[in-house]
Amino acid sequence: MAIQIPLQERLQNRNHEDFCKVSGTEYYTHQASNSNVMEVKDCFPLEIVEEIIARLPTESLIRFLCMSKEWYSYRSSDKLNSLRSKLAPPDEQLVKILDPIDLKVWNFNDHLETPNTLSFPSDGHVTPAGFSHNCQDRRMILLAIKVVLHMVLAMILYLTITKSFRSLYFLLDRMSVQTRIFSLKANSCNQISNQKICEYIGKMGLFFNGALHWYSGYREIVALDLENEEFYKVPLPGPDIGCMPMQYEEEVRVIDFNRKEESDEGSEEYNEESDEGSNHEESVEGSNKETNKTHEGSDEESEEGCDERYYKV
Amino acid sequence: MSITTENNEKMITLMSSDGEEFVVEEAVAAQSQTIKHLIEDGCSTEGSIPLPNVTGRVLSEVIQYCKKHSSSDDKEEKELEAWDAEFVKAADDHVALTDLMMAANFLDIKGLLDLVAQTLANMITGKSPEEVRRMWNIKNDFTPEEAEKVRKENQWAFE
Repeated sequence: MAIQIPLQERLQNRNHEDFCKVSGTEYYTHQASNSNVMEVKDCFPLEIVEEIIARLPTESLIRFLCMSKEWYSYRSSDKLNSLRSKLAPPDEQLVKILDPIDLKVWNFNDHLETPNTLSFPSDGHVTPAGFSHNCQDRRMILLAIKVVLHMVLAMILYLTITKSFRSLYFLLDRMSVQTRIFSLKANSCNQISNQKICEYIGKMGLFFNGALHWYSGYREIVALDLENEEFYKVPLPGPDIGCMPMQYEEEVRVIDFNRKEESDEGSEEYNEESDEGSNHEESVEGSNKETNKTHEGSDEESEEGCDERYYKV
Repeated sequence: MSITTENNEKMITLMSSDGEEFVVEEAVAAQSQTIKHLIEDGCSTEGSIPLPNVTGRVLSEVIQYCKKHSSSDDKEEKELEAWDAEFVKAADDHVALTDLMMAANFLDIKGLLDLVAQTLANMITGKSPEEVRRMWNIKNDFTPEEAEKVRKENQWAFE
């Protein structure tokens, strides 16, 4: 619900009644003021303050939110995060603000009995680096979603599928975005040194066969093996493996033939992952720019229809 | 009251909260979605449109912005950007900008809202919490222990 209080309380309410009738809009819906309003909100409706602070770089935003209890409680609000995904500086639109106390996770080794508090560094922000619909154990994952902040969802998914107790997230370290792999087993994280991977981490990758996959934008799929932290390329499917060339767009799709017979939720044999890809273009490295140019203007999509063995390259 | 000028542009009268009247072309006023809807509903035909929460000073600035943006086409984008920059610079301090933003929000002028919001955000960026606190008049309601804890949790942002 939008909190619409565009009227400054200090202003006169001349013609108020008349105007309400004429306009028929909800502009004058005056919210009964909470007893605990801050000064800034007395003269500034919340939605306007949100408009402003959503545009702040993450660092400044955190400092702003740390100024009072009420602002601090906004830090993980969905509204703020969704505004930020549009209004924040381009590099930081993917960075979600999380509540540090919620960084708990169920360790599947413990048979889901107790949540472990992870030694996530609380100095950063976690964002899902990938998402998979390709869950092998749905129940386990739903349970995980229930108890864990949804932001950490991607981590849980990797965890259950790979059993490698690893997860990817990226951490905002001051003004630069760093990519680290978090290991549940070791309860610690390592920085990824391969800059090439970091290009893709901001995009949602598709997870299967123990690796995260992204469409690179120049006719190939890049993959990161979470277990070994190996980065490799997968050729696009062609006629030789029985794929119809499709119209390409910037996404990776997988058809899992092994699952076709389990019709638990209709569309499950067709797993797809898509992302905006808009930020991606800007992060192309100089050396690759030329390659990119030759394919410019053609929206591309990689359609992968194949069985799992295909990926064990 | 609608007056028609020689080039057949319909004029609209807007009245600010302090009773000041502004006569503007309909195309200029219609940049405000709020006013546009009022015009569509036929409210402009029976006298001036009252804008009870916009003062004359702020309204004149808003009109200045709308005039500029209704007369420029896309070709002049660069010039328009420069003009916008000057426009917010002229508003001077965050109090004036705050008033402008409230008006832009109420009148529903997206371009102006974006412009002012970004300007205010830029004013916050890089300022110390104390400065921002003064600027926005935000009370510190944390106990020293809580403040310490919050600060520790977010240490990276303060370094």
